[in-house]
Amino acid sequence: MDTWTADIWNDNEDECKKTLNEPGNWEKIPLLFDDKTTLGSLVRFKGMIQDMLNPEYYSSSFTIINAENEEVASRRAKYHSSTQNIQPGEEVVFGNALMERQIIACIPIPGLNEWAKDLANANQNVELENNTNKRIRLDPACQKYSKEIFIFVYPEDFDTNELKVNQIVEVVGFLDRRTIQEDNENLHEQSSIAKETHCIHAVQLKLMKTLISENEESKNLIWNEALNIHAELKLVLTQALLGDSLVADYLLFYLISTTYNRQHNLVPGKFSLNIRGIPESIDKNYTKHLYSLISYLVVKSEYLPIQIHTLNNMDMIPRKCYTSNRLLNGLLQLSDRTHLVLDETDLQPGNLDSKGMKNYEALRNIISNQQMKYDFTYYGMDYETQIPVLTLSIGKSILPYDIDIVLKPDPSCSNIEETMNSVHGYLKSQLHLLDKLRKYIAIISTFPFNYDEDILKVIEHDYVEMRKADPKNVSGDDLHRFMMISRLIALCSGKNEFNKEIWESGKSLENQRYLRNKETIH
Amino acid sequence: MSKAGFRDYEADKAKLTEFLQNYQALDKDNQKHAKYAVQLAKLAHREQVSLYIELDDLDHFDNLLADAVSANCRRYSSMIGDIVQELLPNYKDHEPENKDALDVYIEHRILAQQRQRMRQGDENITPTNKYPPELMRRFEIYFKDLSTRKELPIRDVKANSIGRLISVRGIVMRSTEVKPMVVVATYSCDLCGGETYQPVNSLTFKPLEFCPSPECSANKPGSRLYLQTRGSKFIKFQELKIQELSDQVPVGNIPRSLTVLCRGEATRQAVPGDHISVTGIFLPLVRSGFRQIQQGLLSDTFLEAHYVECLNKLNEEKLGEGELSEEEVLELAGDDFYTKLAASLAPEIYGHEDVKKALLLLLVGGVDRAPDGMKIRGSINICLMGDPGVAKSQLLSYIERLARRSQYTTGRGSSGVGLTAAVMKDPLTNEMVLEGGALVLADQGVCCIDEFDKMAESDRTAIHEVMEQQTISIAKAGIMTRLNARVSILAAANPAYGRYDPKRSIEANIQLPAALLSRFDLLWLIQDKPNRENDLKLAQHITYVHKHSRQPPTEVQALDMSLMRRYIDLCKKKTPTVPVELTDFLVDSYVDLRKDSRNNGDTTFTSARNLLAILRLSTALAKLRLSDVVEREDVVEAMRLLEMSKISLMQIDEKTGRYVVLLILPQTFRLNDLFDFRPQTVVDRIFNVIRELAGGRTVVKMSDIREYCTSKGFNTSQVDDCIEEYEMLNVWQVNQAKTTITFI
Repeated sequence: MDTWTADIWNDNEDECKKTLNEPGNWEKIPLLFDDKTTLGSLVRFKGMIQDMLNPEYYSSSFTIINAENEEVASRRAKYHSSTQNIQPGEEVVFGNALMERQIIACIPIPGLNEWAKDLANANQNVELENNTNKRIRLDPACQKYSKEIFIFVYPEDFDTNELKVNQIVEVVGFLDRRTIQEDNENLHEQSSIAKETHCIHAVQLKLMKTLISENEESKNLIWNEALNIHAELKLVLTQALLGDSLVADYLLFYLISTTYNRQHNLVPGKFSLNIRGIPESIDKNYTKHLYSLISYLVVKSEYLPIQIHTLNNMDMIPRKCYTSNRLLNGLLQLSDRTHLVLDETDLQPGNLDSKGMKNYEALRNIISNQQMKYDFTYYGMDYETQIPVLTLSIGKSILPYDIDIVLKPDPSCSNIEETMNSVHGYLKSQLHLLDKLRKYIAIISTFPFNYDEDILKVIEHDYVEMRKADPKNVSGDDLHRFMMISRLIALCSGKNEFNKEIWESGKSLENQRYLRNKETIH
Repeated sequence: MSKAGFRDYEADKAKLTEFLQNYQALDKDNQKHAKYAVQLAKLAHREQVSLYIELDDLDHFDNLLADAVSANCRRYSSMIGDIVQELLPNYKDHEPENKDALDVYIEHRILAQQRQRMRQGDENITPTNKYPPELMRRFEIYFKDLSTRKELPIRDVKANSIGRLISVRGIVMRSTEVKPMVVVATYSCDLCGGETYQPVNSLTFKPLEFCPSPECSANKPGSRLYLQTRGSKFIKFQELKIQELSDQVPVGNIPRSLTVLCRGEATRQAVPGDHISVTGIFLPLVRSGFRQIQQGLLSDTFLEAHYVECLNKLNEEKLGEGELSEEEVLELAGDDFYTKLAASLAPEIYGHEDVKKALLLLLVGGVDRAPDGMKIRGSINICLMGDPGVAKSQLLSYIERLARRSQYTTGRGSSGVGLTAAVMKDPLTNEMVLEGGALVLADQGVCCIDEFDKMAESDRTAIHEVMEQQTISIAKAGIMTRLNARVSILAAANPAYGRYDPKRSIEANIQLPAALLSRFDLLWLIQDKPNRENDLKLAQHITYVHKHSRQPPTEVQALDMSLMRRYIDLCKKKTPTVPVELTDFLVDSYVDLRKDSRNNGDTTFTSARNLLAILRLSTALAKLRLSDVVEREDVVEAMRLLEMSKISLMQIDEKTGRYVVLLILPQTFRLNDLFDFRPQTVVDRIFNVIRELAGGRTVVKMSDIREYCTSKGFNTSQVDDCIEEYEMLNVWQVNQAKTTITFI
């Protein structure tokens, strides 16, 4: 496969496909920016779809006529950007039939944690060059995007309708280097200055749901051991939360939660958590330590301090720039299941300007509806997100949340630094366990789950009673929450059946939380 | 492009010639007239510049030819150009006036040509010296697509559309200035003095350097060509960039864009931000010289605009998705279509049937009337109040999505323009310009205002005018004007104290002046009260969602949003009238309402505005039935809704079991505190209602009781309970057939 070129692929497509799909061969293809990769050879790349450009049209074939010996050679132009290797004295005649290909812009997966990179892209050390476009003088923001790879997707090979923005794709294709014309107004200015970027002509493309390698065997292993892993994970989290095992339960749910369906504005399974009551007296860096632990466990995560100046100055919302005709990346353009941690502990009073308000609204929208409005100047477009949000605050959070809980640190945990270091040290010393924990977090909530009709009857009856007892404080949202918590309790200990016991334990856990919150308010 | 069956272009040309000369179309008065021949005559006399060939006509004339034209449009476009040029002299019955320099040039050229021909005969005129046809042309040929052809979303314009006539719709993101573009460059030679012409077909061209005339090419060096601006032909040219509309983009995709090149009469039709529909030919961009080599295999594409229509100014019908089909009408029809439609509003929100019904009527609206210069609005205004978390905002955002024209805003007014309108200074021209706020932008639509109670003071005063007069007056910075704001207002207000406090009056709860509240046709308090039956249903709903990961199948399947929209469009076209015989009933009902409130010790309960509200609601109901007259049932239902909205504002006092009036519908400016309504249970109230209906009579018909009670907001089972209970008490007797009751 090392010697394959686009022409070879074109001529022996079926054979090549067969070879490529033989087990083990996919992984053999060198990753982009490995030392081995050269232009025109087959490479592999993994990234997030950041933008989708207009399709490009190309002549599907061309003929080369040699003026000297009048030899005529016809070539197919698929997987090519230009007519290479034209010798002097040869003339090119382009075919009339135009074909189209879709261009998608991919960036390295945002929020991908260091440990996961080792798994995913073995060689990420080679930085993609920054693609600053000097030609755009009007809008300074347009110059920002960088580190991107363009992928050409051929509709006859892959159904381009399946591609959506923010998806993670892995692609195998032929490497190319050229300028991408985003704009044909200032063609002449551009050509001399615009930089060439790496492009891949995709021959095969895979949409990745998780970055953890999923084979049945390892999945079953995790599932069978769920109870043990759960205990271990809870132990680690309790330690990190300064001995508070109740909060550890909720943090564990936050880490493993996934949304499991979506109905208009209703997103069951979304789990945004607010841990408040982080004592001011303790080490200022506590939240950062906590985040570094989370990032050590989850595949993708992002840390965002909520302060007046970050809200006012950060580009969180993706915005369309019409000078470059590109979607500008915003901080909140994240792929599914990127754990977003918002740290409010350093928030000081101040004024939000209009940008700050917009950023705040965007965060609100993600937390309450799991969707986000990208800015297209003339209109906004809603994009569905799946970003679990954790807010860390001293008092009540300024952002909405599904579940809030007050942290009650054990007074004996005085040295934060030491505690957190020991947690890290423990994990580092138990590499086998760490690997299991990571897999567990990534996949445990994706296992199928069953509800029994009888237990549903019990739940319905329970709800009616709860309403009767306290109509002011019980609503449909509470029922949603109870059901979600109970489901998570069951899943995280490796059960896929809903029963009365689990329902009761869910209610009692919620009750503990309610009491905890109540007691700290008074 | 059309490879299958090479067309005989000569035959097509002959056909098109015949079409242009002889095609007869019916005009407004059903008179036949030669549609294109008339226009040709105008073209010949320089009274008209552009000739629009409607493919509808051509299709009628010869549908195969129309298909061929639409598939290979560029070729036929120039073919028709040639035909018209040949035909024009026949239509000329007098010499047209020369309008500009180019006309004079053309005249001179024709004269020169004739003279030259006389001198030399035809044979030795070199090709470059012949006048290119484009140079002499003063008309432009455009096509109009078939009216049956659907506009494509931009993402469906693909490689197979190349060369075809297509229509797309989009929003203009960018437009260039209108610039002159050279069509034929004219050069004069400094040696021989002869003119040379160079037709230009692409966006760039390489100027000629050497004179091709026989004298000059014989003694090569020396002669130079100079471009003559006045003798060349230029055409207006503008480049637009359009982008897909948000509703055409599939979920999770980025909107695509398309370059549109406009020439001649198609220029200056739109500015950035406009919604436009463009008919044009989708073509690859022809490149020449260096760029072609560099670009290699790639080619850019563009749409050559033939017809640009700006949709902003058009009425909604144009924006519509077309008529309802037979099956859709069947799907809608049925006795319960009213309930079905209402239940299809925000199906994800559970319950609130009556609120949804009211919102449905708001979407349909009443009828505007203007007797003797007085203007009575037809649009219905509704205010939803209630505790946080009772789905007010979801209802609002659903209505915003469903309504064709709608604006969603919060009372706080996020933009500087606010709700009404603002005078802004244009940074480029320093001129004062009016910029419409949400209310103006939602003209003839729905304006959803969330957090109505937190509205700015200036907007609050302006909204009084909007809600009754349906206009906005501006007198600022030298601009005095009145803008139309024919909107239905759907407001949502939160209680001032976080939760609705039944111990206080509504003005205190919502903190809005009574004068503003009275302008709402319906005020609805959505409260979250425990109710075994509803709670259980909700619980079942939620458990179902969790179990099956989808919405439970409802008794009535929720209708598709686009179907709803089209049905509402259909309803809006009706203007039902109130028949004379119904006016008495209306008047009586109103008098009863007044009497009711007087009996309850409150003369302020009902006002003339309520009568108008009933009228509007019943007209909307008639429209919903697609009827031309309002019927008795409509009025009954309208009164029921009004009554239900009032009941939602009452609450049962937990200790005494009495109904307590939470709200004295404004109109008086007196703040009402709590006061007892009637010391009765529901059954008692129904009894009183029945007694009232009976008046002095001892025998009352059951059907009358049912109807009367329904209009008061009671349901039949409650009425039956009452009748049964009082029969036990021997207050009255019910006959065997249960058709009458007799007081004892």
